[in-house]
Amino acid sequence: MSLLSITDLSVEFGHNRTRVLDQACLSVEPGQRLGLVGASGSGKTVLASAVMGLLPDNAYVMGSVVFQDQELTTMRDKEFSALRGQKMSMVFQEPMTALDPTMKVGRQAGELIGLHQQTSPKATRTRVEEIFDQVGLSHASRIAEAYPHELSGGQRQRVVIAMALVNNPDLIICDEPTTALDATVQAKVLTLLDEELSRVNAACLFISHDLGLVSRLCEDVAVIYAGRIVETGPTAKVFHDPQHPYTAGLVATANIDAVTPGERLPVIEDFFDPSQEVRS
Amino acid sequence: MTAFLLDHVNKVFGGRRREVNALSDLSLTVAQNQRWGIVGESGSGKTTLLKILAGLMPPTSGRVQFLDRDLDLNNRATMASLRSSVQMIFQDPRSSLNPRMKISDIISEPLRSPLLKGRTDVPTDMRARVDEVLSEVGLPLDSADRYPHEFSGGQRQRIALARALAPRPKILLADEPVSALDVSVRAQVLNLLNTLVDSFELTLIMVTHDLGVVRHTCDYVGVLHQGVLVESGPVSSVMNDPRQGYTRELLNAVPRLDS
Repeated sequence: MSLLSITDLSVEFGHNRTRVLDQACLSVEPGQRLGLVGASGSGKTVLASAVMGLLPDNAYVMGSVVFQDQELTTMRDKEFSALRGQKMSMVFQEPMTALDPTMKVGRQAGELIGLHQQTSPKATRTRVEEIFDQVGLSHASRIAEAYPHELSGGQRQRVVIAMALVNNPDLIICDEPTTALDATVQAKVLTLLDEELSRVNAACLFISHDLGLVSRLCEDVAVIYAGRIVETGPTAKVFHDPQHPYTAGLVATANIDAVTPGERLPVIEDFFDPSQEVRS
Repeated sequence: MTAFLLDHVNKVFGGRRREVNALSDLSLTVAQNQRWGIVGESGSGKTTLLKILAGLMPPTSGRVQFLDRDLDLNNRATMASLRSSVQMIFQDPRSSLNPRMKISDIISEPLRSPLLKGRTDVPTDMRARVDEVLSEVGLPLDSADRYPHEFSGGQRQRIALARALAPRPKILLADEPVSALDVSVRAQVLNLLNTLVDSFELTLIMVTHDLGVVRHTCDYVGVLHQGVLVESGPVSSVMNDPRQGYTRELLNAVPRLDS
C-alpha cells in the first residue's frame, strides 16, 4: 500500500475554472524520495498545496488524494490539522516568509510540538534544542532565542527543516527548499536533508526545477508539464533516456556543461513543440 | 583601451562602531570586448562591485577608471558618458521594470535622461529605436504599447535587455541575469545575451553564483570571497585548476546531472 497515492487529481481556479492541474497521478511509497520537476507555472506547487490541503477557497479539486488510507480531498479542516505537521509536513521555498518574523524561532518550533502532543514546556524546550542540534545549528539554545531576522538564510532554512522534522513525519514535501540559498549553502542544506530523511526514514516529495538537485537526492522522478505528469520513473533512467520529448528538452537545457562554451544552448522548443497536444 | 580599471578599491559600509568591509583592496582590469563573470556567495561584495562600476555609489578609497577616464560621480560630463556607454540589467525583471509604464516608455527611458541631452552618440528618434531594439531581442513590435505584467519572466528579461541596449552602450553590466528564471527559459535568455554581446561587440561584466553560466558565457572569471578578490583569470584555467580552496568549494557545490 502506498503512503501517498494521487489519482486523477485536477485543480481548477476561479470563475473561468482555469485548469492548473490536469488528471495528475502519482504515488509515493514509505521512505521513497520522489522528485517533481517542471517549469514555473507547470503546477508543481499547486500539486503540493493540494496534498497539504493548503489550496485557497477559490480552487476546485477533483480526483483523489489518499494518504495512509485516508482520503484527503474531502477531509474536514479539523482532521486535516491533526495530520499536518504531524504525519506530513512541508519545507517551503522562502524561509523568511515561512517563519513568523515576530516570534522567536524556538517558540515557533515548540508550538508545532504542543499542537500535536501534551508536553511540559520544559520537555518541549529540550526537544526543540535537540532537533536544532540535529539539523546542524550550533549553539541550539542561543538560536532558539533568536528572531528569524537575526539568522542567516541558511540558518533559517535549517530552522524550517527542523520544524518539518520535529514530529517525525512519514512524508515531507519540500517545495524548492534551496532556491533562495547560495550554491555553497545549498550544498550543505541538501546534505542535511539527505541525512535527516534517511535517519527518520521519511518519504519525500521534492519539488524543484533544478534537475541536478533532484538527481542528487531522489531515486525517482516525475516530470510535470502544463499541469500534466508526462513521465515518471527512476531518476537515472528518466534523465539519461527520456521518453517524452518535453523531458528530453528539459534535460538538454539543464545540462549546460555539455555545451561547448559560447555555442548556442539547446532550448526546449528544439525538442518539443508546446503547441502540440500533450500526450500523457 | 580598457573598459574598466579598478586600482586598490575599498568600500566600507557603516559608521564608527560597526564597519563592514564590503570590498577590500580590489584591483581588476577589464579590457574591451572581454566577458567577465564575477562569482561568489551572498554578501561577498558582488553587487557592491557592480554598483561602483555602474556609478551608483562611490568607492571609499581607490581609483576607478572606465574607458580610460576617471570615474567621478560629481562630474556631469563623465557621468553622461558613463550613462550612455555603460548599461545594466538586473536579476528580477518583475521588480526592475516599472509596472505602470508602457514597454515603449521603459525602453526609451535611458534615452530621455537629461544627462544625455545633445549627445551625438545616442539615438534621437526614440520610437524608431524602440522598434529596433525590440526586434533585436526577439519581441513583437506591438509589445511597445503593452505593460510589463502582460509578459512572462523570460520575456521581461528580454525587455530589460532591450532597455539596456537602447542607448547603444559599449559595456553591459548584468546582475544575476538568469537566476530568477527557470532552466527552460534560462537557455533562451543566455543564447540571446551571447548573440547580442557578439553582434554589438559589448564588454560584459556579469555577476552570478552559477558557475555553469560563467563557463558557458564568459572568458574571464573573478572569484569574490568576503570582499576580497581571491582568484581571477581565464575561465578555463580557474575552473580546471582552481588555486584557492574557496574556488574549489564553490565548484564542488554545484550539483551536476551526470554524477
